[in-house]
Amino acid sequence: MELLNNLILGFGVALTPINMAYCFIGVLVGTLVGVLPGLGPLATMAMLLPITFNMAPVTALIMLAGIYYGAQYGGSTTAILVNLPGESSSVVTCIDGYQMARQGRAGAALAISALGSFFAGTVSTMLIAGFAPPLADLALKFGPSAYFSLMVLGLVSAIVLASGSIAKAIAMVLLGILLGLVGTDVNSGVARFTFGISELSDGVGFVIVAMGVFGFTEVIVSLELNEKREVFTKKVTGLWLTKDEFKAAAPAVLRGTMLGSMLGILPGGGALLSSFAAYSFEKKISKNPSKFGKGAIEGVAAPESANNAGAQTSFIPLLTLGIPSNPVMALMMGAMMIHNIQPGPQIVINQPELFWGMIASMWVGNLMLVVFNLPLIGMWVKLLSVPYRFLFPAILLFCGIGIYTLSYNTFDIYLAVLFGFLGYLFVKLECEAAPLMLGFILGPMMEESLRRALLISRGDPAVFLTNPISLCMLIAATALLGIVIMPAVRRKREDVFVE
Amino acid sequence: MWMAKAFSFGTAARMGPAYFPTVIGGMLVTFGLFIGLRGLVVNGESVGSFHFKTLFLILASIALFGLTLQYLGLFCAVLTLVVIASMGGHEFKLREAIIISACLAAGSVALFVFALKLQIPIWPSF
Amino acid sequence: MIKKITCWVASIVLIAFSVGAFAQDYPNQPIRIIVPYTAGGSSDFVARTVATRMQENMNHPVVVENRPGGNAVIGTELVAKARPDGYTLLLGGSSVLSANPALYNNLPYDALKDFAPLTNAVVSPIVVVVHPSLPVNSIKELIAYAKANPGKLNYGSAGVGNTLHLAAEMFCLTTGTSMTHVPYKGASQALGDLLGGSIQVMFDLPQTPLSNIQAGKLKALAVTGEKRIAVMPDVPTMAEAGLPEYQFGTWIGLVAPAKTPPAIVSRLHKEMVKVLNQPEVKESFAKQVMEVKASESSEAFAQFIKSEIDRLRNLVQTANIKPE
Repeated sequence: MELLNNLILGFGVALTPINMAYCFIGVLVGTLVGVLPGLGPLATMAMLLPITFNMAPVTALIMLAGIYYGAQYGGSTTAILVNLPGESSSVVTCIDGYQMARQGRAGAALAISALGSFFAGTVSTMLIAGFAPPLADLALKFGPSAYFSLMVLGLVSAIVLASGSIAKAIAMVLLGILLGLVGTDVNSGVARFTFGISELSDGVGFVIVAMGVFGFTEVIVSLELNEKREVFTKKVTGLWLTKDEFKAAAPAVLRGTMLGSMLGILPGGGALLSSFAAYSFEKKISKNPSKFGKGAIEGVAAPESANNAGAQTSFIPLLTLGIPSNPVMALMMGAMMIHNIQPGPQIVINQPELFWGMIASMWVGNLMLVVFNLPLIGMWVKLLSVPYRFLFPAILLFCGIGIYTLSYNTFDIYLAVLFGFLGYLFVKLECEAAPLMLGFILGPMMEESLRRALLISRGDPAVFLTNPISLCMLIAATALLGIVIMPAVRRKREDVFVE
Repeated sequence: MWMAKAFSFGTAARMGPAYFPTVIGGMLVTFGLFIGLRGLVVNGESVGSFHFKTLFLILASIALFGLTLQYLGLFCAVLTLVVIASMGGHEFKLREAIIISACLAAGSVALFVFALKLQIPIWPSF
Repeated sequence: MIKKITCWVASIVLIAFSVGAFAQDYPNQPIRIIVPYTAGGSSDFVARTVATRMQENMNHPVVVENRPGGNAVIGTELVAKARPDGYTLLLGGSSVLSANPALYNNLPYDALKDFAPLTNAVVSPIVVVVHPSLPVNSIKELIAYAKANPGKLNYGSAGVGNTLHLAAEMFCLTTGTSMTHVPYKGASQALGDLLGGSIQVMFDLPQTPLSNIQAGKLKALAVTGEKRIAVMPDVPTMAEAGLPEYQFGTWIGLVAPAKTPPAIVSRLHKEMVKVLNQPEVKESFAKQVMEVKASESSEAFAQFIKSEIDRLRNLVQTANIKPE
């Protein structure tokens, strides 16, 4: 029962008063940061890094980790309430979560978000505890060709994501990819599409596009709808989930957790992909796919669980291999270095109390978050009933400041305004923004993997088919594409017949 | 009549490592044309009306926020943003807007600069 | 009437004070050290250590700001164009101040003209690591293998123009071999593919792959530098492994914008060297396989940077390395 012993050791570390205190501070700050659009966990962790110098290593890491997954919780809150993704992984939550809020079900959305995330956190913590090393090795098998195919699968699922016209969804995805390609090319170091503006040499930031297309656009559109805005706040029907909602959501949570845990291990944005994948998956297997996009609770439950599971499992490559899977993990690695800890395979052996202490505290942190967030739901919903004319300037303000604090660059604000304009156009043209965001994130990664895989195979495209993982992904993607297109084509044929 | 825009769908792809972008760009143009043509041929709902005033005011308020932030500091920037943005709303009362903007300005200064220690200039730099 | 005069006097006094404040001794504002990378890397670590200690010694705030992006160009450009008042400094390393300039002609900064060097901080050797599946156990065997299979080996780097990239290219040039360069966005990503076997070789800073080497997942063949590294006592130096003519090291130092007053430059130099010579600082850097090597003077550092740029420019031209 080595696992049990290890867990006991871990909880022993995690449940000391000082570690609990800092865990709480971490998740509190994290939630706050997640709620504020723009300011992300990365910047916050960097700011708080100096404070951790004088702490014990475990305590420092616990606090920093708490900020990270606390921010995931916070990001969902704004996604549901004001259609603003606080974190890139909350983009999907916007789709149905916001619709639920408009129908007066904000409380339920927030509740299932918190509960689903907690469940996912528990499961993924157990996964880490039991299976960290083998999972990490599995992650390593993902070479560039597998990554590419995974991205293709992800993009195809982005098309599934859209509820409207398929052609438009594809167009949005492509546009997103193009936008994502702005910046310096990895393989050659040359700047593309930057029009000579050096602020663009690192590409357009995700937050900037999200703020513009989601945040600003939403405000403009809402103002257009006149008094209709007030309606849904009056209709708040209870803060909790109904039994039916619970029953519908529970399996979604389970599926989301599984998917998220698997995808989170992959270095390089696996956690992001997990929420999108979970949403698409739910939609595809649902008996009632048309309700997605209009406030289906599964559409909130699955992505939320997935992104929390992904966030936790993304610790695995760092803790077991010493490889950070995303910039936040890189920061954790830096924090470890400052405390003279070498992340990597040796940690489990040399410093078990660190490893297990962190794992146990992840669970504790999740618990704290649920306990802390659930009562707050009432407060958040109350916030919605503030007259909009007071609320929307505040929203714009926080977006603006959030964008500015990314790089202390007012250029970013102007850029976001541009995207706000584009977002408005999109709404008028009935094009959806979510596929755009997905293309934006996955496009560059896809291109990078493609070129790298071809570079390694010396230009041989068969590499995508010979690698077993890659092959599976591609088959799945083609199948998914087929499933998506078939009905549309058939419908067209039917229309023709009818005529 | 639909007004499917193929405008940005056809940005010229730069040279250099342009293989991928060109491919994507090409696909985008194709789809854009497809949607556009379909829009012309099939009878669909017309595009929703554009409320230019709201659009302009909101976007201008944010852009001005950026501008004033750089030169006049956070406090003034917030005032600008909130007042102009409020004009984009429906019930605009100047006095109300000023009060709210002052509160928000003070609040954000307190929150962002003092509590979170972000490096944002508060006052104009002369 | 009296009130009005009082007002005027008060404002004049205030203005006088503020003007006087500017003319006061340096430093009277927080000093910012800009790190052109995201928080958590080795550069960041060096910056934070130096900043914290300087703050203690000088009893004055010294903060670190991360401005990552554009292959470290964004942060570097920021300092190059900053006011030369001694409040904005750059933590620049071999990548930013020597490798980039050697490779790119159109950088928005000039590594020699736009900066007033302060001091070097640390130097770090490079270790050659290979995937265990590669049937080589020493540098000589690696060279033989590479010669027998030209272009077959893939090596990863942290980006085009990065010191790790140039280190590998110099190796190829020195040994007359050719390996294919596979760039990544950062050493960690490259490490991931190295562990997975997609790439077989990597020239890296020692601390990144350290724990994997210790766990046996990677083989370290040799280190550059004059002596073996304490944390990898079994790994021979290049000279011991039979390749004394290949030497490559990375360095991290601090610079200020050009035209910073010499008095401030020498003050900063003094403070930094003081920090770097503190035993705890030396020790904590040593744990990350970085050796403290403060420059004797700012001019010495300036000379060093220039010689590095020349050396790498030479390499780039001889090996015909192009951005694309």
